[in-house]
Amino acid sequence: MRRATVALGLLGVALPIAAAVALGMEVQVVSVRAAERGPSDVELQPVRARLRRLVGYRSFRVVQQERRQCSWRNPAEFTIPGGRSLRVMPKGMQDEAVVMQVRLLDGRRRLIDTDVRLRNRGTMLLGVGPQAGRTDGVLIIMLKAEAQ
Amino acid sequence: MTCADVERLVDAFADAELPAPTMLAVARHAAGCSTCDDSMRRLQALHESVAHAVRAEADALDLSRVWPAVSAAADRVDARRSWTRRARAVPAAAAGALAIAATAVLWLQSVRVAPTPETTPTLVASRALPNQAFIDRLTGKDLRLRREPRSGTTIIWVNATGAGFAR
Repeated sequence: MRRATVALGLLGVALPIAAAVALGMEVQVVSVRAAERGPSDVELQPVRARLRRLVGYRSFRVVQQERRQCSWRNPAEFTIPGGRSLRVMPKGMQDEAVVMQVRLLDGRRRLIDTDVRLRNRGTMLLGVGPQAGRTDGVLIIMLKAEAQ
Repeated sequence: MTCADVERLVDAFADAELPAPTMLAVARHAAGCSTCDDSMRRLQALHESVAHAVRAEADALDLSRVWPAVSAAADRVDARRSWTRRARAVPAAAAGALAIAATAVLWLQSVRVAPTPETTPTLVASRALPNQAFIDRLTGKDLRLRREPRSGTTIIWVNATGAGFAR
């Protein structure tokens, strides 16, 4: 009876871990066009002030977004407007943060190559182009990672 | 009061155990009766003799060791009572000391932990932010790193040539 209880307990612990390992994490990539003038998308209103402080532009429009389940240690590639790509490889969890390798590629050229520890369910940004001052706008890539 | 009455009451008269009227009646009879008076004087002499002998015996007793022994025994009893009282008082004293010590420790800890104006910003800064990111490695050309303090949101800027929104 005791062995059965212990086995069930171990199973209860092991199954969620196995499921988490198997599921990996969910990565959401949102490409946003930032410009000096123009309207902003409603869905970006909650983060508009934050984007304004960070990049200096006033208008933010979602151009493309993709959400994908990624398994640990397997790189996932997301297409970015302008012929670029974002390659994300989740490595694991550390202190409630997702450890991952992020590469922004322009063909075979690495524009950005970084290893980050992003708080689980947190968002980080990649900006491409000149900062504030250009009227034709820049590209902001919002990268959100959520481990299961 | 007759001689027979006096003979019956003479021992009690000698010990002064009779009521006052009877004592007076016995004394009046003896004053007028030489026989009863002689009898009473002999008995009185015997009483005095016995009392003297008893006093002499009592004076002859060596009591010098008695009182020190009694005093020592009394001291031991007092000491035992004192330890008993102390033993009974120990839990209360220990509880009091423990409470004082605990209060002192808590006070010292509160003094140690209490944030000073200089340490408060450090504590706030160490709070985990929803978008906090740690960059362990970063390579690339013409990169800039910015961080928004409220949410901890990090942005990595790359100023690629012709890297505007559309190419």
